[in-house]
Amino acid sequence: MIRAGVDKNSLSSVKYLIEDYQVVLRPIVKSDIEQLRLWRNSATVQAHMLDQREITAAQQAEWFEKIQHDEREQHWLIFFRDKPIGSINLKCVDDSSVLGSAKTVFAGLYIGEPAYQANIIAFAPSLALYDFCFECLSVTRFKAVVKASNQAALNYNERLGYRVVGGDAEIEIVLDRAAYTESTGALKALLSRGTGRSNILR
Amino acid sequence: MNTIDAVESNTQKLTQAFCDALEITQGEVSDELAYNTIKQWDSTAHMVLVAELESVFDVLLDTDDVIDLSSVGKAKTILEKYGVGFQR
Repeated sequence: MIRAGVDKNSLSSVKYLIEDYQVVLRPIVKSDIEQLRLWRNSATVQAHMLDQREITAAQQAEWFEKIQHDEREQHWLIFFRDKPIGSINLKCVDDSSVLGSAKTVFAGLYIGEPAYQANIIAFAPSLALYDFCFECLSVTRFKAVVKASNQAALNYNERLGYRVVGGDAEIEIVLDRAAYTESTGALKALLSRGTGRSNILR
Repeated sequence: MNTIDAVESNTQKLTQAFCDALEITQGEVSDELAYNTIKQWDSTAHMVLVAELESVFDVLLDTDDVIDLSSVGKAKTILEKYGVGFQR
């Protein structure tokens, strides 16, 4: 079950707070950006990024200033068992759209905490966000671009129902709702069983 | 069956469960074998593995256990919570 709400700390645009499949997706705030930068510059994350340049603290601060007022994209910090483990984001494909009404969006994800990079929980943030987008927003299609050398990401996205539509060194993939629904039923059931723990919306 | 025999039997059943779910040989099953470190143990196989362990040991794992089940050694630790003993 999706629990979603509007982040009241956001004054400039609507930011969504999402909880499902044992994870909480909280819109990023300024105090998060150094942790994000450390993860983003770590060898295990950087190796799979399309842009592999080292990010400086100044560049990170500039990026945050830009995106926090941008209604065409949103970035979340992923919490599992009350600890941040990675980041997930949405961006409009069409520059004239805003996330609240976009039909097609780009999705991006990385798990920064090594303990969870090879763990079934890595699917939870995508399931939570995609459910929210299909059920609560106007999204009908996701797009992503993955390096051809990143077989783990290709396998991951295939598991979610993505299909390849083009590309060579960088593979273009798309996901429609029907394929997503068909592909993820068992995975969702596995990550929706009872648990003694509870995540608390921040 | 005495306790030692039961523990040996459980260890064998666990090994066989991993072999059946992941379609690997007994020689590939060790405590260190971990999720996503071999191509056979992907997310789909993980779901099959959970079902196999639940069937073999007659338990129902909760989501925390499913998430923590990240290696053969972890599987033993989790199943021990449900009263299933293993050789260590």
